[in-house]
Amino acid sequence: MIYLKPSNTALKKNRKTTAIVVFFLVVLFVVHFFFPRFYPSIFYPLTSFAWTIEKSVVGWFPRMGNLIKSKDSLARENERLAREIRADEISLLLFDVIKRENEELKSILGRKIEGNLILAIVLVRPPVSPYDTLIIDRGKRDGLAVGNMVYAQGDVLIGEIAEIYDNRSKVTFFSTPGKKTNISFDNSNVRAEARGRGGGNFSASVPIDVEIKEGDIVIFSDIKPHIFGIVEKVIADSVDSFETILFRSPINIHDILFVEVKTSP
Amino acid sequence: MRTVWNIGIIVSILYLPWWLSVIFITGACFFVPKFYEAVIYGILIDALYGTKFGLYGFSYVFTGIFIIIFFVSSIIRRKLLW
Repeated sequence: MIYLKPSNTALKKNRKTTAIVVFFLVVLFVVHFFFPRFYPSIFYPLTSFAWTIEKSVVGWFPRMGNLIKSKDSLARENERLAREIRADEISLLLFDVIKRENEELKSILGRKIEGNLILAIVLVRPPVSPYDTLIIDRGKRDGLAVGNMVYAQGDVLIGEIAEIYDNRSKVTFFSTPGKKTNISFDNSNVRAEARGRGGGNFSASVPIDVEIKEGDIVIFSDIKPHIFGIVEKVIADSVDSFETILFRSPINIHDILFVEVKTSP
Repeated sequence: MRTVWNIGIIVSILYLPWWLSVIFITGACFFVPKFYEAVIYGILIDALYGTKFGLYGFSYVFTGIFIIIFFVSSIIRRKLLW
């Protein structure tokens, strides 16, 4: 069989092109490594426009479909009602916590809750975002700052502002894999460190003699306590002095449409 | 062909679940010769959605994944194509 030997000139040209491309990619990465805010500040104005269009277009098609298909409109209504029920359930869970905390607060004079809540629209959420992050439509111009707490459906603490731009912010969930947060359990007042497991899931270790059961509320201790999660499973080993608590946020992070950001006073 | 893949991938990064973007970019690495754009898309995903905390403290997950996919697909392509 006869093969055509590639000419030296073609090979050299090929290698040169590859070297240029690799150099370009390395430069791109180095810029991102040393200036992580550079690309987002360039791309967010463009991508935000695309995400806003998506919201109106994706919303338009189902609306037109609903005019034709009555079943679809019923399904949508059903979904909305289910979401409302879920929100109400969370509010009910919170009621007991707030009631008790309110009584405790009455005895403490001179302490007040500071900061304002700013409503923000969620532009991107998981599963589009692979990093357990949200992108919201409020930023530095609205008075937000890195570290501001982010709440969903009223009083459920879900994350904090991680990066901030002029009119966009990146929110990182407390459930981001590997992230650690101090929490306590409503029934026992024991404190623990919650470790994020992704997708709104957490795990924590507490001494085995602490009584924690499924359905218990996990709270984030602040002047005003906030619901952090609900215990789903308790794994206890008789040879271990600690038990593992698996819990999840009552909020479905794939469904979040709006969040509230608590700004510093 | 290359342009169609690129448009599809950009749309998937902006609107579709992240795992579909991974599938599309992996597919492009195998079907498009020298698909260097894969690394650019990795950097883009990390920049748009990632934070300094990343996943378990590593912020360049997708850049890393697509560099690996790019090299593996190049080797496989070289072995399979003639």
